[in-house]
Amino acid sequence: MKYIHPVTSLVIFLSLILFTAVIQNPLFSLISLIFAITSAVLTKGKTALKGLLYCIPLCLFSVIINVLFVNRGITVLYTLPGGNNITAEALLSGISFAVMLLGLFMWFISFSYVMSADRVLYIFSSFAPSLALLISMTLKTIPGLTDSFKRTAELYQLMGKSIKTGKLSKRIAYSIEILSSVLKLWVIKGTTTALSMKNRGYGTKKRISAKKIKMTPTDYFLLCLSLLLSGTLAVIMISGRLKFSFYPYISFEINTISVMVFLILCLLPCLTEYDFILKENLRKEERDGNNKAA
Amino acid sequence: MEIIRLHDFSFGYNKENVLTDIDFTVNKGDFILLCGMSASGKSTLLSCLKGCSEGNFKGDRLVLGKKAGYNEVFPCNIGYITQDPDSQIVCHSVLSELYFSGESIGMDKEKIRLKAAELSVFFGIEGLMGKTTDQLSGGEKQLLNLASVMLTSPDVLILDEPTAQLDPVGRNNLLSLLSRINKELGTAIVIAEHNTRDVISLCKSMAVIDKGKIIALGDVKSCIEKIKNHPLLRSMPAGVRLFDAIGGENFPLDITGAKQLYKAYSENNTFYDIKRENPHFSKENVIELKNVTFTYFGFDKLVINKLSLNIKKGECLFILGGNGSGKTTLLRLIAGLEKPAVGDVYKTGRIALLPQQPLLLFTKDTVKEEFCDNKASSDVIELCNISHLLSRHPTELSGGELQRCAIALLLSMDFDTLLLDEPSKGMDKESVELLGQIIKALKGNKTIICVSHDTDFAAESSDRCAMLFGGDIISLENKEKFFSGNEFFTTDGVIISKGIKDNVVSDNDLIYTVTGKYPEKSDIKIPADNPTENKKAPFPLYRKICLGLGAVTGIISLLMAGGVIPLKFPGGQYSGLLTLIVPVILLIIGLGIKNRKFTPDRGKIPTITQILVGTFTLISVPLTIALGNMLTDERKWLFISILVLIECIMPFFFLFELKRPSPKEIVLLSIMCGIAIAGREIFFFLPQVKPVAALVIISGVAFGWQAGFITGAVTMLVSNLLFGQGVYTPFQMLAMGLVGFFAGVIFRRGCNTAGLLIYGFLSVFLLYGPIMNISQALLYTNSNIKTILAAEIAGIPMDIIHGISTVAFLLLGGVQLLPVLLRAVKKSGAFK
Repeated sequence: MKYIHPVTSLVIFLSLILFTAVIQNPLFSLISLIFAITSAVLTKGKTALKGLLYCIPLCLFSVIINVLFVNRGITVLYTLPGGNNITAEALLSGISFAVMLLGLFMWFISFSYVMSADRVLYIFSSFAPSLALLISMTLKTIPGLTDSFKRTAELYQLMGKSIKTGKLSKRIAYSIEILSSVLKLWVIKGTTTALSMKNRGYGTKKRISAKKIKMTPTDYFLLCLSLLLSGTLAVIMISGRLKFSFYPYISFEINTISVMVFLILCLLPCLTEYDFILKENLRKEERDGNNKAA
Repeated sequence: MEIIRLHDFSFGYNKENVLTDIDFTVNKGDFILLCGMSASGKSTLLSCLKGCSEGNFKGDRLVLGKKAGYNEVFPCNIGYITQDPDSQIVCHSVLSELYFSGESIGMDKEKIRLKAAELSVFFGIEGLMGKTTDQLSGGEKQLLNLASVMLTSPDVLILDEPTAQLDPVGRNNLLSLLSRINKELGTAIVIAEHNTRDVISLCKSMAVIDKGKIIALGDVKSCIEKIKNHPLLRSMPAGVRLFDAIGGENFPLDITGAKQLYKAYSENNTFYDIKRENPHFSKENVIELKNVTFTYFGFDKLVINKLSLNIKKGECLFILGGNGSGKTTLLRLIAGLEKPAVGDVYKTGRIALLPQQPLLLFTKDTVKEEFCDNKASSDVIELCNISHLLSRHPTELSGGELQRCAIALLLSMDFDTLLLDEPSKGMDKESVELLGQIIKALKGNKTIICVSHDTDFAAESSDRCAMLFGGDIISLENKEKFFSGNEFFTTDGVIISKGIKDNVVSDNDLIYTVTGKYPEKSDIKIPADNPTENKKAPFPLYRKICLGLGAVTGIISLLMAGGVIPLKFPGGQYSGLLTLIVPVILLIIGLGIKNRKFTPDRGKIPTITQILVGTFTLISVPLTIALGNMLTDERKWLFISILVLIECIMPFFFLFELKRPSPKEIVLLSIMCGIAIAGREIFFFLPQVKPVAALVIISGVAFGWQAGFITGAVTMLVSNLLFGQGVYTPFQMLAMGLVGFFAGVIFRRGCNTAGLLIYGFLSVFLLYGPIMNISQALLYTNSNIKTILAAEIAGIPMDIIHGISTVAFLLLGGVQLLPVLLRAVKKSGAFK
């Protein structure tokens, strides 16, 4: 997805996340989860599956809360001593909800990967140049600050004030002392930065952004397609034809068009990513072939 | 063609003139070297040329023949570069940095891109384009600064010691580029340099400034003749000093010329002989390295390779070597900051390391407060010649002064070995000389190990020198043998005298052979300093009582809240926690926490835009909730809450855009956001407790409500950019933003410690905590009032921990950091 234009990828991901969160239908949640996992694995490999493991306790928690706090539904499975009923509907609804949550998490794994800092900055810089500049400057100061802190911590260690060993209260006190001297240093460095900005004309006129990422026909096509699909889905959703209610008993409507539309929408990130990997592999094979021939 | 002219120009701070009667013109194609002792007004002259803002001016400043304001900057005509490569860089990515000046002055976008492409080829930095700026070396950073300034094609470049922080390779690269810029593009260059060695042959003319007046102006030879016997000449290259000492027809621009001059002199005159005492080393080894091997990346790439080294007690050892030869790593191994992969390091005595940024050692308000009040400290203060600096604030000192204070501070802590990492980097010649004097005085008593590129400094100050290459010591000799044996890596004095006169090591030796005297020691006038007594306050009884009572009541109220002591509270069990306020106040008194007052310098009346935007928010939020309530979906609350979040966050960002923050404001904001995010990593040993809220509150107090919100929101946004986004991002942004916002609103007329601590607890407990708990309920459950309440109650213990830790951070760090920020705000006049 990283070679797709940031605006296009943002629109695709936001609509996916929005529909996953808003449509209360187990079928849609399941579709979303499957494709979210595929997309996360395609972009981040095995680490994505690790992320999935971390999310499971939270989902269990969500199921339990739902079962304990919701006692609507007609199929009573068990009655708690306090008089609250545990119902099959509440259980199913909790599971459906957990699937949706997992799907959301998985989409955010690929979203965080695809919308990396520079691509987010590109989007921001077009409509909020000052904010984009602030984010960019913050990103620049972080490694420097961390480095200053490490250097200072080493000095303190040589002076017998270690932040790695010893009493916790001392370690905190030294850390804060270090933090304050690092801040002092950076405030002074900041005057130079401010001067350098002023000398290079910052503040004389309204800032523009000269960065440009080309919109290719593919990008336009994908953007239009995703907008069209989300529009359709939104209309169907508002008209109430995706209704799935658990209480008092499970009742739902199935709308084939909307399922198809959602499927295509979910496929977009996976397809573009798969396409990229395919091309990459082809290139690699070609390179290997060339190397062998040489 | 005349570009800048200062006519009849005077400048000063507080009635004292720094520059007087200056008449200085920069024409197209000029390459002017500006020389002067430290504090002679060099930097001030350069900043007046480019337009500086504070001070009293007199006379005219003409830019392109037209009269210009004293503080008017001309980004299209005048480029300016200072010595610190790192802090001049603004942006995160190299490309944005290169575009910066073009984007700021609103150049045509196509033109910016074309110009940047041209420049990156001209400067040979195409390879850096995909990188981020923190990955660059110092030399690369300075090249990028130069390229970024050149984007607007200025007519003149003003450079204030641009190579001071660079290693020799980076320095030569930059200087040759400057020469090309001057020759090929005709850009005028005005450069101040303390190391004039290579610049003097590049420049076309020279100006000498002394005590705020230009005392010589013209070509290099005539200037040198005009300032005969001036102490400034001591910092000039050996050839120039030789010319000054013996005169002659041809001015030696380079080493060959100097050698010819020296040879000609030797034919008619006899040289003075250099007498040298052989240093006596004690036999005792302080540090022994035995077959030490070290690597960062596995055994294919060794940084230190089977190195053995014995360091004698009381000697001064210099470790010299090129870039990447492992000098700094060796120093870290000696200090014990790295452990060798193979081999051993034996040490006796305590070791101190002088950092490259000595400011990091100072945490108090004056230099004096750092020292203990005993004889040992007064001795080192005398030794390091800093008694006149004691009452000053560390940030007001120059680099050299700060370095001497830091050495004194380290010595007062009773160390046996002092490690110096490139101590002459970025220092002017006088500071280096003073440092040399300190080293000479310490030798014999303390062991000094110094890592440096600077052969002149080594030749002056060392006993022994070691050459490091490929991770091993290639040669280790007494300095005479070391420097006379080398052909390239040695001092100018040795190269010039080779084959003509023996036993010359340093440039001073070379001059001694012709004049028979060494330069006098530079001395600093020491004004009387009034020492103030610093006594520790006794621990009064009432504080002991308060401490005891605080602890007891604290435990009782915790027990009540936990339900161990059965007591009914009107608002449920947890409202018992409110009784915690009593013990907290008692503890504050008991711990003797001074109630300091912090007053931000700000007159705040909301502008019309702010009122309009505020009203819009106040109307739109209830409207959204009311309209959203009419929807029937079960997940409507998530939907509504996200809309409300956007409606709350957007106005602040909108106001921020409208305001167009000044450079100083945006820099301070970025530092606070950066430190709040870096704080996550810094307090690695406290897994759940982070200082983010404390830092956001401080910036809210120091910078005002608007900046407080921006700090909170941007901190959460960027930190999620780095650590992974989630649906929680907008919730965190709003919650943290509000913490900063209310800090700014409540403390707009200043605050005191107690208020700050109470706000710190309440803001986290009643604002940040609930918002995040509710967001969890909205996100992770099928939300109804019950689950929201359950999530809120489940979150209370965590919120209390977070609140208490925020109070602790505010108490331990906040009260120290706040004055730093307030001073920075006051000084820069930002956030008014």
